[in-house]
Amino acid sequence: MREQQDSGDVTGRRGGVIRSLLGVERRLAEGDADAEGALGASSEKQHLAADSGEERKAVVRVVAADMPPALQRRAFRCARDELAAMPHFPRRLEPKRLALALKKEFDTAYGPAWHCIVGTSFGSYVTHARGGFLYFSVDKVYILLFRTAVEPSNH
Amino acid sequence: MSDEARRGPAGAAQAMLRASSEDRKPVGAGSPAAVAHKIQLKSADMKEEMRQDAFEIARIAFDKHSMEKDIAEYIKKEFDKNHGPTWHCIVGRNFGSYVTHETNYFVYFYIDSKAVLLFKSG
Repeated sequence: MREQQDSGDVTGRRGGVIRSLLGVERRLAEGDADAEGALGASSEKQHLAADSGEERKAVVRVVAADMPPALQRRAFRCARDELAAMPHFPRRLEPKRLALALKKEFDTAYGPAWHCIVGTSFGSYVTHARGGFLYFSVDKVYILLFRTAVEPSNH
Repeated sequence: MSDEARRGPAGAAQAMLRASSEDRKPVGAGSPAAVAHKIQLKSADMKEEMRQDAFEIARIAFDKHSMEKDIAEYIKKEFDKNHGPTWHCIVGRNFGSYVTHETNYFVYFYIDSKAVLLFKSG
């Protein structure tokens, strides 16, 4: 059993200071070099709202990830759609609503247990299942989505 | 080798999972914090003794560290060590959450003007 800590690298790789700093501890089920390297990837993507009369660009940035690209894209789409559906956003963020939407979608699509934290100012330290971690931002909203292994019931 | 096989002092914890969520908005500017950090319990599914341990650990974390992620790290690691893995901790002024936690292992409280979410899962 190996655990990897990567709380410093993320900050070091970025040019500027990010509002929400992140610490993460990842449990590796196997000694997989590729998996180890996966954490810490950083990229910037922009998405246009489909069929939107007004061209509104939501900027999505990945701060840190250990998650297959397809799942990441699903998270981005879900978050962007949910934010677009909030009548008062960006004046008023409804973090619990977005956290719930993401958690439910991922629990349903990929099995439990997923956890989601949404906000503009928070720090975290979590242990996640391999391949189940994503920390990204949509405009100025930071979103942490991660998975933990569910213990089988032992009644 | 699965880490789940090595549960901590808590023994065979029940695997019943329940969803909890917490939401908090920014609070107005307050007066400077006293030496003893003021704690305000908001929501808990946790026995009194463990809750008090969380408060004490959080006070120590706030004294030792100033950055939210360092505070979260300290709290999580203390709980992994003292109450068996696997714990998760979020600290901040503005966040909402939706998580699944093991029964009896969830607490959400304010310490001074910051919220702390601590729960066990996995």
